[in-house]
Amino acid sequence: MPLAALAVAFLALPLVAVAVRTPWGALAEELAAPGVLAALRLSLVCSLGALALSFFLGLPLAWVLARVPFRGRRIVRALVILPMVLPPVVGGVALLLAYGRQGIVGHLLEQALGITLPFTTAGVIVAEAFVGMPFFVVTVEAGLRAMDGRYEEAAASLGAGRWTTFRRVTLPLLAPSLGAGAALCWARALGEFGATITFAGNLPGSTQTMPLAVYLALQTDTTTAVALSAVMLAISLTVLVVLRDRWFRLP
Amino acid sequence: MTRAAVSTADPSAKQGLRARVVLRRGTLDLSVDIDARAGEVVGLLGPNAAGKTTFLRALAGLTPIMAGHVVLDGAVLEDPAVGVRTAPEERSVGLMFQDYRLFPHLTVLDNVAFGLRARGVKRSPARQSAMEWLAKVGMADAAGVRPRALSGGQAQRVALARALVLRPRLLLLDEPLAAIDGSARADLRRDLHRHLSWFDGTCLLVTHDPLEAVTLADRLVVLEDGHVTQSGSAEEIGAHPRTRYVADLVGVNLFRGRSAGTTIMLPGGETIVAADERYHHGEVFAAIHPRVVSLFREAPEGSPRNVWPGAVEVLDAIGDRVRVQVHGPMPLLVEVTPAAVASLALDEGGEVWAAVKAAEVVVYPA
Amino acid sequence: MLTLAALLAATSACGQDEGTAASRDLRVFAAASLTEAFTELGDAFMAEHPDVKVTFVFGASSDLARQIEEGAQADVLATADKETMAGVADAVDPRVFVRNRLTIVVAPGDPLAIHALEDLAKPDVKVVLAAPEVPAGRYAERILDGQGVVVEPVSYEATVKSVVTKVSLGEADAGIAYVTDVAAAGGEVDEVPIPIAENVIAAYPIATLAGSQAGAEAQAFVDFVLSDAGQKIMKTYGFLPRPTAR
Repeated sequence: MPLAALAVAFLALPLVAVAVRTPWGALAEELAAPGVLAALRLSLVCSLGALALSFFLGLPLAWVLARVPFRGRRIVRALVILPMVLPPVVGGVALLLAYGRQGIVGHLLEQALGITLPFTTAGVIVAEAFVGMPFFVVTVEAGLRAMDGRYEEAAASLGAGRWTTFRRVTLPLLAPSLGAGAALCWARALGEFGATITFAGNLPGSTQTMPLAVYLALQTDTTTAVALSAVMLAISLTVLVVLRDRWFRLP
Repeated sequence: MTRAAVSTADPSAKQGLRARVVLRRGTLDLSVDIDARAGEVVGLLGPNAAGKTTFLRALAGLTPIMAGHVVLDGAVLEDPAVGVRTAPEERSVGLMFQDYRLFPHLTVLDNVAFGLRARGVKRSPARQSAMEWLAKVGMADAAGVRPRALSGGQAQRVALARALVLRPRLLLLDEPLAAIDGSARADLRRDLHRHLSWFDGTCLLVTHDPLEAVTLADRLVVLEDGHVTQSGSAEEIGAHPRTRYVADLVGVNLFRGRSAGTTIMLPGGETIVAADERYHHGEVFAAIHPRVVSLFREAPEGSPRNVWPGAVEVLDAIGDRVRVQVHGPMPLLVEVTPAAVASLALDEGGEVWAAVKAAEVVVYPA
Repeated sequence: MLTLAALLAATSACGQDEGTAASRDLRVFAAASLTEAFTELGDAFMAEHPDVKVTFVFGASSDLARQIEEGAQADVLATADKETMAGVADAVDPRVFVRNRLTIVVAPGDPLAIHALEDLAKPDVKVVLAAPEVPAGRYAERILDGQGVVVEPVSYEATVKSVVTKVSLGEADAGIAYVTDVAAAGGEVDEVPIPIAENVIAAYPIATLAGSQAGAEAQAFVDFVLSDAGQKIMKTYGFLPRPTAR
């Protein structure tokens, strides 16, 4: 019990400290500064973009990992999980080497389509999806495994083809896992710093997300940094409360 | 509604199921031949892990077969030799899983309507048909609830309606009453019997409960270790069990030995004398019903030709009889009256003599 | 609870003053642009003072200053500008020890033919600058403002080192960094000098810190940096000597 209490204190105190140090009186003024709203908006846009990308690519991947037996599946899964344990800055370097202007894929992208990712908002989305998608894939794969195909078999025996089965049985039953995976992925994307600053750089309005703004503000103006941190904390808390009943229900 | 493999249909073929299923799954080596007419209910009886469920899954198309064929109403659903394999959803086969597998996210009504919707029926007629079937199984009142709120018996009725609403040509019931306990079971069995008597397709019913098999099925097939060991009517099987499993199931003492005249030599050196001389040589079964065995405290004098010593092992009251397991060179299940138990002062471990008249031994070729 | 406290105490103590007799630990916080020069200088210092072990923490000056304000254990601080040093209350008698100039960093061979500051304003040139929160960013801003050149960079990097990195990786076409950074990058980038008249001189102050546990060693390190031997090392990395006037 005492250790549990210590653990709670250990986790909660820093958050309390942010609340205590927040310049509540000047908060509105701090947040009205031009860069802040831009960073906030960019954070939301990019994290939702990363979530959409993770959904679009991650769902098929989770499906394959959970349901299609193939050689090297363990290796593929390890590769997918790797960004979760990789230091984000290393992830950013890896992204530069792959999708940067001189990157092995990036230079082809630029030649063929005229697309460059570094220093663009799209680059931020790529960096955030890189670190966030594994959370989505892993959670959804676990959900698919827990279903173990029993209800899909029932649907097939009732005459439902693969698409109907997926749409009317698999997806609805997977909803809790999809929700939890999406929440984790989105939260990770929202907080992403290392890969973003390394791969996408830092430009107010186009690549400077909230965490980057907090970090740079901290170099000169602690008050602003604390105010921005308080905003991030409030957003995270809101998400937690909104999702609490729907997706984090304990058995 | 029969969409199954129309192109390969042979109109002259008789209605019903012709199946030869050969497949290997883990330690199970399944090789089963079953033919069944439309309108017939075949009970598939067997111990656990005999391959009963796997066989049903193969017929439904959920588990591919390695060799053999599945032919329903003349249409070839599966035949690896010619590369035919109809997908499960394309077969007119209804499978009721042992755990029912009602979709937890859909209401009872939408569960029953699911198959119709999947086959392109519009929402409102699908719901109407579903409602009619729910009424037939007595579950109309529960149309709006989720399966989570149902009892086992209610779930079974819904699952049955969900399978029957599609009017399948082959209905597969996997242990339909196994998940039901106590008093509800008798009611459900009676209702299931009623629905099956209306059903005009072929029905295979897996069970390990002999009562269920006898009351619901027209004919029984016994499956053991992936192979059919016996088939026929309940009476035939009960009278002439051919395996230890069946003998235990119907409660008969079964011995296998070599017949020489009226004497049957058992592998252990014991002998059984029978009056029936029709099978006077070769391998035979000798069945001895528990009720024809008499017990004595002293070795009996006179008429019985078969007298064996033993020790009382278990005493069990079954209705108005007492079941006694006699342990010894000839292990026997014996049924006597409570009065006999009292007069013989039988107790566990006590020495007894078991006697059987030669005329009471049923002999048939192995 | 006690074990946890003991663990924390043990880990926070390690690296500070283990073995007071054999060697003293000296922790030097230094601007990112000093990375290569101070690494060699540190080795030379330790050769003269075998009983002292110098550990460097390199980063954006502003970042280091903030860490010290927040209570980070440091004995010496060297920043890339006087403003940042001025914000550190614990700094004892800061003295400028080297000066630096800024330069335009381009890819090897200068493929986009960038010759002057004005070229950075071309729309198809991707420019990275250090963030205005760090000294190199402020210097760059001052230089561009002084010439009335309006540059729209693609990124404000958190340290001057990552400005050079972005150019050397080819992600950016040009940037503004210290002359010494180009020297340190070897042949990975080229330099387009900014004329003296347009340039600014970055003055690097160094100071011991009031909270230091190793005051004598800290002072010895500062003295070494200001000594001829120290200045000679700094010069090989492209730094200008400290002003000798006064």
